[in-house]
Amino acid sequence: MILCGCMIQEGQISEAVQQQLEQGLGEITERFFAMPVAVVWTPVAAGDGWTAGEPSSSSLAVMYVPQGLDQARRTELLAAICDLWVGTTGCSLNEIVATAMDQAA
Amino acid sequence: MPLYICSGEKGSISDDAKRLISKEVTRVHCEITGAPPTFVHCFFFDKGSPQAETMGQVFQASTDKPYTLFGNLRAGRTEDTKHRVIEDMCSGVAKILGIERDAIDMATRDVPAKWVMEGGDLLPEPGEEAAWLAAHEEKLRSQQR
Repeated sequence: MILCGCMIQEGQISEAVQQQLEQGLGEITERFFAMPVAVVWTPVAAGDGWTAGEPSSSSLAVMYVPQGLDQARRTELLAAICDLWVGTTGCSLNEIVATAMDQAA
Repeated sequence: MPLYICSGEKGSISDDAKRLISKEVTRVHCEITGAPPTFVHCFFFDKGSPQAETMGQVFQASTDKPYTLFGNLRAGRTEDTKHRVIEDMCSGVAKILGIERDAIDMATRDVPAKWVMEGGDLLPEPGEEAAWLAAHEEKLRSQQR
């Protein structure tokens, strides 16, 4: 199981779109790791999310990946997450921050 | 990236203070590290909430201070830089909240820049932001043509 924590601005992404993102993230983890995904959604309440000192419209997705993932493969994974987000939510590339964090030893 | 998580007891940070703190966090981070403001995210969660515990985890549990700041920073900053970020940020936030500096506990965690994609590009190593931004903006312009 691959864990993916997603911080989103409250009210910005509907539950239906969240389900589509969850499905897409699952397809990505199956493709890269042959494992299902467990998505933890963390909504950031209105007035609690700021980017560059202004109200934020950014989503942050942190996927915990097996240690030692090759950098080229890690970059492909990050691009897949960003593409999924842009294609599914209609946000701009500047509104999705993706992290592929090594799982703790 | 960076992502700063700011936590206090429920209701202890007003909406106006959150606005001011987000600007102070951005100012301090950018002045000390030279990073562009667009990289700086500052999110607020109530202390003890599942969100705060998820983000701060060990750090949140290990402090009894009423306010905490937790920063995920790109790896490669010197210890001196991180110390200055912590001291200036805590002082600035304390001033906004009207509390003693000692009422805030802060920690940071290093995350390799190559593990993070923002704006569709891997983040630059610390100190390489200007070239990264120029290339990134040119890429966006060419995509719009």
